[in-house]
Amino acid sequence: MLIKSTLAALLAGAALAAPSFAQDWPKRQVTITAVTGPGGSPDTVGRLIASKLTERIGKPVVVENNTSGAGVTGTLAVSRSTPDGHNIVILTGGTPSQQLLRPDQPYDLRKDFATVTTLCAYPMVLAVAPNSSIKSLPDLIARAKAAPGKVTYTMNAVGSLHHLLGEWVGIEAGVEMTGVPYRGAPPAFMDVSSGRVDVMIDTGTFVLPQIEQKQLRGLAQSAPGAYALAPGIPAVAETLPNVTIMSWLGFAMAKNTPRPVVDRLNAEIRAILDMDDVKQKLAQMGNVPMPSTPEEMQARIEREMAQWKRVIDAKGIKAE
Amino acid sequence: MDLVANLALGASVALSGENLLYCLIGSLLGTLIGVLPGVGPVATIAMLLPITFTLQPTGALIMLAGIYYGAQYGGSTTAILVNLPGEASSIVTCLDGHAMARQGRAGPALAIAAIGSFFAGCVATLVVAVVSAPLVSLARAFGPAEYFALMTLGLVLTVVLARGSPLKAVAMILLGVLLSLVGTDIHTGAERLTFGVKWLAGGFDFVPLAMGVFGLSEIISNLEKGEGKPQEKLADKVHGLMPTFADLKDSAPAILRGTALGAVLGVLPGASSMIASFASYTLEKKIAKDPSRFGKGAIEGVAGPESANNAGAQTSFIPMLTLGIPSNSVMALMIGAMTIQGIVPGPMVMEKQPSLFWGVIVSMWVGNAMLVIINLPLIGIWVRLLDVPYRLLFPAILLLCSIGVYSLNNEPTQVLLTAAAGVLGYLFIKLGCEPAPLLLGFVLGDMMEENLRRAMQISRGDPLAILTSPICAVLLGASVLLIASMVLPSIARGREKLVEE
Repeated sequence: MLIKSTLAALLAGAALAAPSFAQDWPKRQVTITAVTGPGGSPDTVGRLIASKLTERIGKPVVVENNTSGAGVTGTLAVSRSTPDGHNIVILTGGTPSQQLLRPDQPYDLRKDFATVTTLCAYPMVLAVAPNSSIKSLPDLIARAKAAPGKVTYTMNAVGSLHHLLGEWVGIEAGVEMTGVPYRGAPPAFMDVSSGRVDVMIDTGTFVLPQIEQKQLRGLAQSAPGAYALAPGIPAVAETLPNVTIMSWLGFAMAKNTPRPVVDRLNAEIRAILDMDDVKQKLAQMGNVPMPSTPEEMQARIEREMAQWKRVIDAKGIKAE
Repeated sequence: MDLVANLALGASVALSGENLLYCLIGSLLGTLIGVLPGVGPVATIAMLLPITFTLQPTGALIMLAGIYYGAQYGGSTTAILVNLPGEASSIVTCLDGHAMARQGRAGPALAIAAIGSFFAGCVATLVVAVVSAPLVSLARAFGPAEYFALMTLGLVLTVVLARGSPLKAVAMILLGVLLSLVGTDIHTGAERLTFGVKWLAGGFDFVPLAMGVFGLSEIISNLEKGEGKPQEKLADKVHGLMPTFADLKDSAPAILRGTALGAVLGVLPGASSMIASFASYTLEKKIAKDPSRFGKGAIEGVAGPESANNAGAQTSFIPMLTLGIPSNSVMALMIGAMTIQGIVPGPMVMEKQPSLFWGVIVSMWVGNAMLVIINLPLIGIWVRLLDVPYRLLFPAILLLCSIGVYSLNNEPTQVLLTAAAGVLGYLFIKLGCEPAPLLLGFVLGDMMEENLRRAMQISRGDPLAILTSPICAVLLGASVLLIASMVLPSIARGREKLVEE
């Protein structure tokens, strides 16, 4: 089967001398690259959409995980693939800041991709152990003010959204907190719930279910206003009006992919995101659907890069 | 009693025709992918995830769980037959399991692995049902400092594990630790030891390294010894498919001890089922009357670790079922499957979905029973595999390895890396250095470093915080004692020599 599909790919590549248009897309299998491991949010959402897309376009759509090179390898491969719409990469809300922190990475997020559409979004959440003495976000800020650097929060690697949000809250509130890096949410959750670290900053997709089960208490979430899936948790912006950030997932392909192909895929995704069962499954994973035009996704990337640049410069965050 | 009622409820769910079928499919599929080198449960479950969207949640979880523990069974088969550890937890099985296979005792090795795993699976299932709650508080008591201490003990145990020169073992551990540090450091974001090579930014993967230094190097050295010639076979002479009474008598205590170790360590998220398997090996070697038999086909060296890793695989469900947090990437996928079904994983599952919770638990026992029934008759077939002329067997192994490694990341570089690791492993055989300590150092090294730095960050640079935690004190104390037990005898010997002179 492997040999067969390789042969088919070669033949399809040879046939691509003529420019491709929407009516002859897809010619063959469409591959979606997720640069996280199985089980991560891009992977799960990617597989959900891939199964729907397969039904709609009549060619297999498969998700491949490529975690090699911290995600750079898979993203690079898509940016350098034949621009015919058969290779898609899932970008995330963490991609813009990575571009800033690693200017030497072998592609430019703003120039080397054809954005298709964002898929879904979710806020980041600040939470504490149920028995923590920290009552609210203003209370947290007051404590951090009283003891600079003593309040600890869990984050992902340096430059992750977790880290940047923690620093951004610090900048706007004029306080200093210490970020403790973890590989993934579960060990971070264990240390927060047993009181070793004060605050957990993590994705809504992980934290909201824990709050629902009363294993954590939500202090604030980073959506621009109330978040539909967490009505009881105040927005960070109620205390620090500038601080709003939604993490997102989005599809991109190699630049120079013909516009009709981009538009066709955009329309398919839009229709899939409008299906009731997809909406319901996304909600169960803590996401809200967020279809967009290719231009809106491009603008979002540029806007977020500008926004993170301010945080990164103010705090002197570097990957070194 | 509540427990009986709960288990009865679980049995009624797990023994329904439909769920029995899912359980069978899961365990069969798991065994199959476990046997295929490189193809692990993570990739399989990820591929099956979209299919489970349309299944009943209970059936879906039963099947996914079956794949997971089925793969543990299957993994030991390749470790024993051809010295290929598919997962970290079967490294230890390679040591004595493969040695037994070379002596023509592959049958008893496979059988004892299956029997030990079954016993451990039964006990651990009961543990999950009865004492989940207290074990969770144990998991909560483990913070970065405690994990650091556990990893330290793990590394010290690794030295004890070595067969030959302790100095060489230490060197191999350090090399393993160094290899594990390659890649992006999460504390600073810096790329370390990558020499500017981009695909190294994520570090090395375990599977290519393990396959290279164990499996491929073994193939190279077999070919060198002339096993590629016609008529040559892997095993001298196959005698006996089933373990003898003496085998069972030797194995029984090892199985009991392995089960206990595995059940406790499995609750801790991270590399614990692997630590469990080699902690069990070390224990068996330490208390054996004749430790020199280990590495040369001691059946306890298969029975203990196999029981330990299977018990650990079962109890690693505890953090998921009770806290909703995954202890490894397979569990993360299962949590994904649950949420997409509209079940929020965590402490409320037991109250809100009792039939799902107890159904899955009872299905684990059912699945383990099925695995024994499937695997015991298969042993005859597996052992016949060793009768296949080596010149036909080794290209097949190579091909399967390459496909498996490629499918990990869909990356050709991984296959090249496996080949390079194979050459390195061959070099190690020539130098008389063992690969097991290298791999254990590789698995533990970066976790140990990360946890130490995390602990120091939380305690604001106060090293006393690590020493004053009672768990740390016990674990670090045990490490010191173990080192002393290794070093002191040789010092004493040196002194005697001095006195004589």
